[in-house]
Amino acid sequence: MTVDQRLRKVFADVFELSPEKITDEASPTSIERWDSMNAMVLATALEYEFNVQFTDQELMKMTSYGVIRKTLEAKAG
Amino acid sequence: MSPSKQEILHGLAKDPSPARYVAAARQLEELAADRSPELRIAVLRNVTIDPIVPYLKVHLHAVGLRPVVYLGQHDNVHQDVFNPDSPLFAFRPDVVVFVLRLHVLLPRLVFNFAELSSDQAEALCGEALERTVGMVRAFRERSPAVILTHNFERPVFPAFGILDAQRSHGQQNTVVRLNARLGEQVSALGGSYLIDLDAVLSRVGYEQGLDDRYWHIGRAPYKPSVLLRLADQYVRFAAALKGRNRKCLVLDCDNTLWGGVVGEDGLSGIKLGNTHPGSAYVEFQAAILDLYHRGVLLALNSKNNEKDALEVFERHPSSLLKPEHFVARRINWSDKVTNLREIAAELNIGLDSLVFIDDNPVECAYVRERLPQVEVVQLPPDPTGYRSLLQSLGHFDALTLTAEDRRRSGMYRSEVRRKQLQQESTTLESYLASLEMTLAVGYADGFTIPRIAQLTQKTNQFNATTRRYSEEAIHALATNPAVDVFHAGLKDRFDDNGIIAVAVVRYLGSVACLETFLMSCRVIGRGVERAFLAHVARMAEARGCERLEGEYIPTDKNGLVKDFFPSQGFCRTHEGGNLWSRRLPATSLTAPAWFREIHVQKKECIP
Repeated sequence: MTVDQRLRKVFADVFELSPEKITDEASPTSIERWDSMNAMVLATALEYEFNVQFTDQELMKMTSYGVIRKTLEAKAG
Repeated sequence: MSPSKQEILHGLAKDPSPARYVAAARQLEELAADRSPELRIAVLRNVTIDPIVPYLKVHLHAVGLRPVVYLGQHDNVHQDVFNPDSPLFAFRPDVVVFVLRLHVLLPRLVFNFAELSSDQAEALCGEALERTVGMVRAFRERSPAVILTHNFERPVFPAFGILDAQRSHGQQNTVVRLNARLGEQVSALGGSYLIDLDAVLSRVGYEQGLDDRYWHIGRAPYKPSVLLRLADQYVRFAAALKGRNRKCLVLDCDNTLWGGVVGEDGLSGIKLGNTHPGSAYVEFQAAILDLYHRGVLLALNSKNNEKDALEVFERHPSSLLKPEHFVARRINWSDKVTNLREIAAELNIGLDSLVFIDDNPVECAYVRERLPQVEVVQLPPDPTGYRSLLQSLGHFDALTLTAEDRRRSGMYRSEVRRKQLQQESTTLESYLASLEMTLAVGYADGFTIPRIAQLTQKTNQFNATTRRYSEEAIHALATNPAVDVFHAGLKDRFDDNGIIAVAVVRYLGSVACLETFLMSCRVIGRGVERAFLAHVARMAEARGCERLEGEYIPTDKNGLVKDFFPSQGFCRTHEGGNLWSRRLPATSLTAPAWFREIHVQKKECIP
């Protein structure tokens, strides 16, 4: 699976969405469940799924699906 | 089609990712809009622990409880517990958890320890203790819920470096002492227990379990690996409170209690002894014996010639388990499902009270499929993992360990002797008379409250209302002048059964209402319920009551009580209702003639 596919699945689980509806622009403004608490759950879920560690700066910048995807692609690559 | 509960839980066992837990908690919630009993749990905290919620929900669903969770506002514990009108008390929790991290409660003990004199450190510890126990006590005064209090974490890198461990007033030792005092004070409150957070962290590893990034970003110190295990701890208490614990461990023999096949390898050929791999089986047996001493019933269900298997327990020098440790055994060539059914019937307990352990995946899968009520534990291929697997199971947890628990297996063995006597007796009445039974009826007091609460938590079959009470709730009822909490103990020529029946009676004017009327399944069929009800009626008459009311709330398990009230002259108060009533005085309510004596203890004031 590509990073994008795996990421979609985690998003779908955490925010209760259908994976195909997620766009790069998806953000806390467009996803109702994306509050500060679920942001933390999302980050821990991603660290588990991708076996990576985010820095505090990366965590603070996780403001949209697109940013997260690019961060993960950079870390995985 | 949406997946079943078993499929969801099985999926999590394979992929325990945080995202899966979030999704599973949601799926289980949809499935559990059923009749599972509710469990209301409140978590009060001075740190962010919110990501524990999915773990908590999944674990509660796994033990058959429907979770309702209250998360206190961040660092709002004081306001919640000291204000009787707070949302916490409106929530009416069954269980409340206090999560107070020293970093927030008294930061100097964590961050500025090296500058403190030992006296100052002691004084701060006293303050930490006072604040914590003060809040716990304030809650206790306003609610009978089971209380769980986290202890404090030892520092990962203590203040005095390598010298810290050398000093009795080093930071490590200071926290260790503080935890010991906290444990004593918290458990002295009644129905109040310590959650050993520090032990959970050391199991996971402090460096693995703590997260400095989230601590600074969101005041969330614990990683999912810690939250998962904490949720497990909370749920073990909740399950014990709600009677979801199990009573009997059923064991396979070959490659479970020893290595090899005794029928083929012979008594001296099986692996059981001081050295690997036999030592793993000896340690596994030791862990099983620990459960036996905690009151868990042991039984055997194995495919062997009975003579071969028994010879191991009777004659093998390294076998810690002896024939007398087992209250039931099915060592035969029948299928294991039939055997499990028979064991449950023989012991008069439900299939959902059994845990079955076997090394054979085929047997395990067969039992799982045919008897989903039985908890099946499949042993790993490597016997060195057996002991810790057994010890990690929470199925046998109870909130108290009473004298009755420690003698339980002996009591079941007496039951076998009673059955022999029954076969020799010509009539049921002559048998019951020959038991020479004495019923001792009394009021709840400090000595009996733990056992009374435990019976309400564990009794499912002869239990008219299946109301569960914590020790604290029983204590509150026992000191209420409008309520009597009665218990009855039964002795016969074979054994002292201890306390086996409980009645909670509330007096409303001239009516005495049975809020709870229950009897242990061990003594079913001996007329105890009639003798006990007669006593309760006498006491109500003495108070001037004119009616006695009983309630029967049907469950899957308490069909035994269905005809009890009508058989004792009660009539329904409303057509189709659960409430039964009869006039007092009730001269027809008497103890059966076969009781040798009914001993009545007087009421004394309890503190």
